[in-house]
Amino acid sequence: MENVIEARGLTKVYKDFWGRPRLKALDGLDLEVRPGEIFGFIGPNGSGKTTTMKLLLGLLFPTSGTARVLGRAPTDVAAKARIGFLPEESYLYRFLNADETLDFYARLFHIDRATRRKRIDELIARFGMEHARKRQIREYSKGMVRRITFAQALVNDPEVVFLDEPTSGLDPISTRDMKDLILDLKARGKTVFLSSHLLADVQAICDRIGIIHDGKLKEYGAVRDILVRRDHVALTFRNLSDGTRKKLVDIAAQEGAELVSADNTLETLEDVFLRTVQGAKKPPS
Amino acid sequence: MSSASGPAATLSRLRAVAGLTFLEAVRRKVFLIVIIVGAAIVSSAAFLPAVDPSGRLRLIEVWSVRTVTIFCSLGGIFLAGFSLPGDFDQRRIYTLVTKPIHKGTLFLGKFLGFVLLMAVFLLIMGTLTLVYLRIIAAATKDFPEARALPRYTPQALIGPFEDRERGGRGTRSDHPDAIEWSFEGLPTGRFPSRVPVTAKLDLRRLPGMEFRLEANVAILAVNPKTFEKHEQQVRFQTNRFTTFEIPGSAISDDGRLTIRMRPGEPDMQVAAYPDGLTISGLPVNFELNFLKGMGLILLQSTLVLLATLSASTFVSAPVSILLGICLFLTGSSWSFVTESLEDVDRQLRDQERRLQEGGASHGSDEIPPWLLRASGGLSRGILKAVPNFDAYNFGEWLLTDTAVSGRDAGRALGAFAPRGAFLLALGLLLISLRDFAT
Repeated sequence: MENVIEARGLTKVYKDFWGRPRLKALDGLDLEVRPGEIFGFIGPNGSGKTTTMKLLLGLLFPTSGTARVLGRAPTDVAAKARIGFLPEESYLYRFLNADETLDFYARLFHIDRATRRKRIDELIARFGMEHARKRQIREYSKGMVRRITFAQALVNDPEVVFLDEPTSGLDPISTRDMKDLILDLKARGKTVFLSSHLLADVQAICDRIGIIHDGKLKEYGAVRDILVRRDHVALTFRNLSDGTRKKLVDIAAQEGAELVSADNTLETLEDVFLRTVQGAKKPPS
Repeated sequence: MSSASGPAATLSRLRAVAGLTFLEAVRRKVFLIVIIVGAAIVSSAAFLPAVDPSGRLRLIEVWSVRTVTIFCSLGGIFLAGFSLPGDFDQRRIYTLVTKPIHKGTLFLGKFLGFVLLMAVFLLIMGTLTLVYLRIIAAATKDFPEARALPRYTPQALIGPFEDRERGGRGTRSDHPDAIEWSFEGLPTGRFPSRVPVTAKLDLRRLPGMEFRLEANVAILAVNPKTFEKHEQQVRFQTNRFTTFEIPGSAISDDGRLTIRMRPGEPDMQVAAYPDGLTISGLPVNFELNFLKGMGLILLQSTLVLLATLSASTFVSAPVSILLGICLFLTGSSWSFVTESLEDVDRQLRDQERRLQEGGASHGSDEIPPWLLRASGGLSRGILKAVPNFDAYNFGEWLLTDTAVSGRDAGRALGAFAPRGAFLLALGLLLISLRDFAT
């Protein structure tokens, strides 16, 4: 099957005013993203994540190498018609309301009026913005702006969605919503390119990941393949007595295995937080 | 979803961006503020001193039009100067150019949005001015009627003597030939029974050629078809416009007219320049003419806007605004700079003459010739690139009750089109070459 996103030897050198090389932000990146997968792209600040995404979206011209999205150059208008992009910060026209914002972006896709209206209604409902759809964006909270920015990325029902720090500035409930939405996109056959530094989120929802550092791809593959420690085994029991536990440890020691840890398992903080907050939430009046 | 490419899709995107640009100005109250301030300044003409009702009419007309011109041009400069750089700096460009829209379409959409904005502004301000004029006219006794007269200039001027400086022709009291203006293609039936003629003559005393303050000039209007002649003597002041009348029957039914002039006194020279005489037709609709005048202002403002918008694709907002203002000031002072260049040339000629005579080219208190040449050359280069905004200065038409003719509009459009096309192409090229690193 043809890759949805491909990069071959992608290199970007930023230059100063006089054309002298200033910074090599990306160094010979090779990357493939397959149809229908969620690809996580992680790395520390300044590692080249955003530069890669900008190159894949045609916002930057590469110094060398090539990038293809849906089999076309990133600057190709036909390719752009099939992609959605959620930038790291929400860069919208603040004097427009939610309806107008989505309508404006939908018109750039040359979507007919009836389809536009239907899709905007769906997105407004999906992102829970019915109550604020006629308010100007400058009056929105950061979370509301983020939701509308996400909605604009989906206004064309894209085949591939680029998400740059999608949960940036969101509270845990909205973050969970976003994750559900990304999984929903995958369920609907969309390809997602996700750039994030929230490792837990990436681990939870991505099929494959790439780890970038100093402009070079350091790790690349399926999440499980990268995370698995083949020399460590963890067994989880329920209702295990102390005696049986000691016996198991002894057997393992006889086999020459070293016990690294033997603790009760923990829930994630996110699970506890969500259970606490959502449990305390009163039903809306 | 419809097709992502093709003319219909491009048009749809252009409309979307232009509409957004217009809406942005409206929502940001820029439009409202400019109209309120503009209207306040227009109406402030009521408080300016004027000696008589006729002077007041001129004052209101010219004050309004100048105000509207400045507000429209400067408004366009500032809006355009901040628009694209604002999108770049606040990174809204990321959500725009990742959609199926060429960067050039974005530029063009912004441009059209601003032109629409300026057109609506001019329409509103023009209407306000006309309404204001009507109110003042109704409230003021003996307030003259605002008029717009079509003016026609001759096709040719001939005469026995040549004025070497500006292509003028002249004749003298002792010479049998007159200077002669010929008109062709005049619209018959669009002239009153007494046709007003306005002329400016250069009157000199012979043999020394000193200026004469005023003198009599013999005028002969000839119908070139019937050879019917109308003779009269008119007192002229030298180099000042003087108006007299000729019978409408002097214009032939095929639209031709000849006017001859000779000195009306002995020992005298009468000279004129090709643009030194016009005849006036029946008044045209003042409101429609005002609309045409607003069109001229729109052309000028569009040129300034385009320069600013094109620059803003590549340089920061303050620099592009500065460039726009420079263009506006240079275009507005074009005639003044041209006259100054004539002075520079004259000074250079004097310096050359002094050198040939064996003296120093310039005194210690004079500018050295190399500097004069350099500054003159630079100014000429700038004047070649910048059009003369007099072609769009509707106030000049209003001052002389002159209607904007098709030829005037054509001349303004001719000055606009190549420069506008160049600036548009430059803007499209610059934006297509740039990426968005920040």
